[in-house]
Amino acid sequence: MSIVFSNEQKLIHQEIRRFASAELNPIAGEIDKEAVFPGPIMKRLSDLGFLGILIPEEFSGAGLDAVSLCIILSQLARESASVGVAVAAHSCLVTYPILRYGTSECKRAQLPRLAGGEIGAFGSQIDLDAQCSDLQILKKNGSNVVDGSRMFVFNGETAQNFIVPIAHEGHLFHLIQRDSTVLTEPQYLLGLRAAGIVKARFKNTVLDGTAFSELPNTANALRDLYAFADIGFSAVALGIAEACFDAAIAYSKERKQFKKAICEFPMVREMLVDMKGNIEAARLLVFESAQLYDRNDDFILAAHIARLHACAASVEAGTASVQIHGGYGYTKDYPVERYLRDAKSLQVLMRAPYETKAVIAKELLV
Amino acid sequence: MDFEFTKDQKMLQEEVRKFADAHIAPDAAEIDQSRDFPWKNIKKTAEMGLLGIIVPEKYGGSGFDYISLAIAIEELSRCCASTGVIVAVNNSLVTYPIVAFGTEEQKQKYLPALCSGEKLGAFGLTEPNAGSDVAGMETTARLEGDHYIINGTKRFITNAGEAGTFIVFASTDRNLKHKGISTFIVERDTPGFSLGKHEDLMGVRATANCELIFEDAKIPKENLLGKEGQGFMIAMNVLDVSRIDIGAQAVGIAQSALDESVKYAKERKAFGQPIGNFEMIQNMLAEMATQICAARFLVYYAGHCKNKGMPRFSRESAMSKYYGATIAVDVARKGVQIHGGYGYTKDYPIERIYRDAKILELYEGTSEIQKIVIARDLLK
Amino acid sequence: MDIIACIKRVPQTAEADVKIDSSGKDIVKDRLQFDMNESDTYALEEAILLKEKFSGSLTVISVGTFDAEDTLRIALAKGADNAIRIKAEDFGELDGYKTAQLLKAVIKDLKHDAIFTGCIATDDYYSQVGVTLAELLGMPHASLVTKIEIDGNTVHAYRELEGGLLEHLAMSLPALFTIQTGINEPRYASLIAIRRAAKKEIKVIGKEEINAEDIVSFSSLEKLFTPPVGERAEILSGTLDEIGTRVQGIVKEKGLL
Repeated sequence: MSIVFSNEQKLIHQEIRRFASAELNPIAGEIDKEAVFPGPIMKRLSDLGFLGILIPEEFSGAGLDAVSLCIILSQLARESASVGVAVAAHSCLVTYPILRYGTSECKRAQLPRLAGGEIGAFGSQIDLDAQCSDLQILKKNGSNVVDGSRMFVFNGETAQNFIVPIAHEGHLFHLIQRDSTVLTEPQYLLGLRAAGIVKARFKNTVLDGTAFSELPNTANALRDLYAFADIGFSAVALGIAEACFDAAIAYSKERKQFKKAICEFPMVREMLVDMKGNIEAARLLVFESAQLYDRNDDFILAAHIARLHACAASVEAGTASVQIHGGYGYTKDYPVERYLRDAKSLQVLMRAPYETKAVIAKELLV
Repeated sequence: MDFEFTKDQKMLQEEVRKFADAHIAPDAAEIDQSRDFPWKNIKKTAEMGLLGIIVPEKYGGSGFDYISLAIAIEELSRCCASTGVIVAVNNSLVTYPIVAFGTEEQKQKYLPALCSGEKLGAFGLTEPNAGSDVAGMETTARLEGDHYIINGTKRFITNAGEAGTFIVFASTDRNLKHKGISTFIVERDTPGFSLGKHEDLMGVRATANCELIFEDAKIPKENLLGKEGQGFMIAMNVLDVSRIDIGAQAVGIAQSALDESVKYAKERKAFGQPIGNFEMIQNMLAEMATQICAARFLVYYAGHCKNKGMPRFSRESAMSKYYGATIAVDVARKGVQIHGGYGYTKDYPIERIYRDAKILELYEGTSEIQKIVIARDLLK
Repeated sequence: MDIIACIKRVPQTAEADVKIDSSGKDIVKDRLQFDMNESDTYALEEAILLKEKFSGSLTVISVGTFDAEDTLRIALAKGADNAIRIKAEDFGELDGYKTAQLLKAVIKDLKHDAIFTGCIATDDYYSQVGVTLAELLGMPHASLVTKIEIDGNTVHAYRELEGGLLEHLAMSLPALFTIQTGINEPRYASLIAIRRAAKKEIKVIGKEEINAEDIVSFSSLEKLFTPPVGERAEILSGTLDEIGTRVQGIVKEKGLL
């Protein structure tokens, strides 16, 4: 298998790359420092259709495939991993479950809004074990309400709609409209600081019971969702890794010590070569898993492996890139320390590698 | 070979550990965010005698050995990497060169204040264009009458923003290249000497890391440390000693990552049991503990070599720094994995430990330089 | 209104390491990124704005090899209706004059009320095509245009000169404008538009339709080379702070402070 992009995908690649370097690059460092969710940029992205990547044209989306999604996410992430994660969460964790499991009224009501720029939030849980939940569904005055809190709500800062996975009476996904019973609180993070990942507290918040159909197998649905999210996040990791590599190459050519450019030193060269190898392998894994999904083949194992490898590659690239930049790489004058922090945070987003490995092992030994 | 600490080393370790847990640990998160220099705690370390650990008692120091220095730095760094490096720099990069190369007058003039905390020390070697290439430094010093006139800039200097006594390297004869470098003791209120940019770093954020700017700065000629042209040799000698400290700091940082991870593994439950029961977690914890143990003994061994007065122990100290730094970064990385989704939030110290660990591979000689030192020694 | 925009695909050399290739007449291109010439993006945007204001059709044309079709497609995605590629590979070594002749050969048979080109290409810097094309087509032109206003059949074109002076030209359509950067804010193509553009056909015209012998040139490129390093220039490198300190040092050394 090799990655050959269609004409359309090549155009998308070109255009989103241009957008990212002109519009994201100048603000990426600032939004990370201030930990500010970049509302205006998200609005511009939605005007260009980037919030409706997977949404069919009948619901005002762009109706694109997973490969295009990966192209977009990796190019966005190259400049700002925070923005990459926000768009990934919006596509993979919000529009995707609605597309797959939403009722027709839900799709008609929600999808155009999501495509049109209303960011959706997803209240991820740390455990795959849906029984062990920090959110309770209770019955109050005849309707289902949710009570409790979630620590990692993607896009929670500004979203009006939240999707929360809680296994309950045959349902897994629940849609929550933001009202006064929903409180979100920003939190200080190592990386992905501008991605709007907040804590959310629900105080007997009413659930929209009509949004999602009952699922015959909630465990499978969750498994499927995490795998699809892995495709998206692995594309983000790939983008970060590429940014690290480009920065390292450029700096190693510029910086002189001992009267020569540091790229002349074999130890530095080895770091660059190792980085490149890991990135190329990650690229193949990411697009392979996307292609499997697009072909309606079983993509779950490939997606987990892509996530594991791409995230490891981006953390290693980040570490090596800081190392190549020397002392300067440790300061906020250069973006590489941000790349490292973002890569590391992404690696443990929603699920740590050891948990992913446990899941892969299960799949391998079935 | 005796693996036991001496009685005073044992007491030192217990006292410093208790002190660090009680006073240093609680402030670590806050100073990381605010970047405020922890003067209150540094003054307390001074009271314990931790700012002049290897300085002879007659100059106000504690008169301990190099393994004790490593023990103290490890315990401090375990609680707060910034505090650990502030104290390490004061000891091995400032008091040590004065003890080793200073005249009696210089020792009496500068050591007591450095040990009491009245004046902190900083080490001005690195320049914007001379990081790994120390000999390529561009700061110059020329003798004019009773003063040396120094011109140039130093960058990334730990403690600079708060220090009173600086060990500064400048070239007194650029034609002689590394044999033309000399060392000076510079006081804070020297005319022509000012501080520049306060660095915004990924980790060890509370170390008042600033630039030193010399514009026709006038340094009295009595402040020459050693002889003209001995600067490079002094720098290399000092770095050999400080690498023991940084190795110790690395062990401390790694130990904190392990401690946090063990605690977390016991507390955090999934699928009805503590995650510490899962083999993959046990795998990581076992690797971390082994790495730390090996690094710690390398540090002690380097300290032992220095204690024995071995004239060239560059290889051992380079190993202790290189290995310590490498495992600290790896242990911190694993620590974040173990904390999983919580590993990147402020609620757990592991994210700060992860950020702090990376500097170990960069300052006081990158890991690449350490490896070159080791390889060259092997191939002599 | 029938509008034509001429665009060119150029290598992005601003941040790249540019090396002369073995022929000595071109640069090594295989590691470079390519994109629409900067002033052409402004010209295209101006053309689209005009089309949106007066409704009509917009045709984009490019003289280029097969890869230029990517650039034409982006133009389609941004709002052009038709795209034509003139096969550069059929006409040998090109210069500004040859390119203008090729464009004229196609444009003369198309309805055109207004033609837009960029003011200068960032690869060869000839700045010739637009003006030459206008002359060949026998139409009035304005170059380095920073503002356009249409009033019935009269066009007011504004050109920015040195010292903040503005030159105001009035002419009637059809006319040609070479556009200066900064005149507008070029849009990005939306995803849906990209999807549609990817499927559109691009008309390709080559030596079957244009007689290569009719396309002449009076100059030939001798060689391309990097100028020799002088002795009186010191290249300053490093971070802004370092360069600032060094500049301060140099100024002091020369006794100017």
